[in-house]
Amino acid sequence: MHESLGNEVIAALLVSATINGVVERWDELTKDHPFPAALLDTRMVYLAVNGPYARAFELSPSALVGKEYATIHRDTDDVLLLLKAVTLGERFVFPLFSPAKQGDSEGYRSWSLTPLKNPKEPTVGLLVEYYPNDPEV
Amino acid sequence: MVPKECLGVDVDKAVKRLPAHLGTLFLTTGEQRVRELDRAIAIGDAIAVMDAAHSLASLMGLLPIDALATYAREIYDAGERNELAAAKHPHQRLVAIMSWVLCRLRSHGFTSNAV
Repeated sequence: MHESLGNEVIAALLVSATINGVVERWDELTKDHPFPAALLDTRMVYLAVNGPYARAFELSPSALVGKEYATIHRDTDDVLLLLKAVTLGERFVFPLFSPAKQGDSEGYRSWSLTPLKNPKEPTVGLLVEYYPNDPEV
Repeated sequence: MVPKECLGVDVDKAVKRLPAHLGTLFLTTGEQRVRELDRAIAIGDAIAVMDAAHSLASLMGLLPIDALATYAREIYDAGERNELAAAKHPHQRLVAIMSWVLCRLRSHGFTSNAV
């Protein structure tokens, strides 16, 4: 199993109470995480990405942060899946249609969408992660 | 008539669970992507076929019909190989399923935003 950052990020949200608090701790939360991860707000705007995520799309983190997901990923309708996760407040795992890059090795095969919310409160953000295999197998 | 690929799949339950704006987006985007795919196949534009298949594959994440993703993949691969004849069968089946699914969405009161 490839560990998701979801629990750590949700724990950080519980402590900080705001998505900005998670953004402030993003580097600390993701520094040892080897797979792509990105944090978005509920308008589907990138708030933070880790190095593997930026490399997977051959962009710098600064080229992603502040941009809308649909602006970066113009060749898919994946933003609808992000909207589904945020609206329903449920975590989803999907196979990747076009495996994203992973250095010289095989590409990432699946991705997950984890809505970020405190109990009994609306979703305030979304964690997008990629994995070499299905994280739920 | 329910497409054979949808037998045993509770599409109505999945449709009912779709938030209203997502149902509308699915309907609007689905209609548009199917038209794009039809046009791309008709004119033999392999790149456009791949683009439309890729986009349709994203939509499949909204409703649990595995065959749609399978057909989208087969169409995409045919485009990638520039062998669009191989896309004929999956294209026919994908269109049949999408037509039925879009019909189900309309029957649940969803309407397209297309102008």
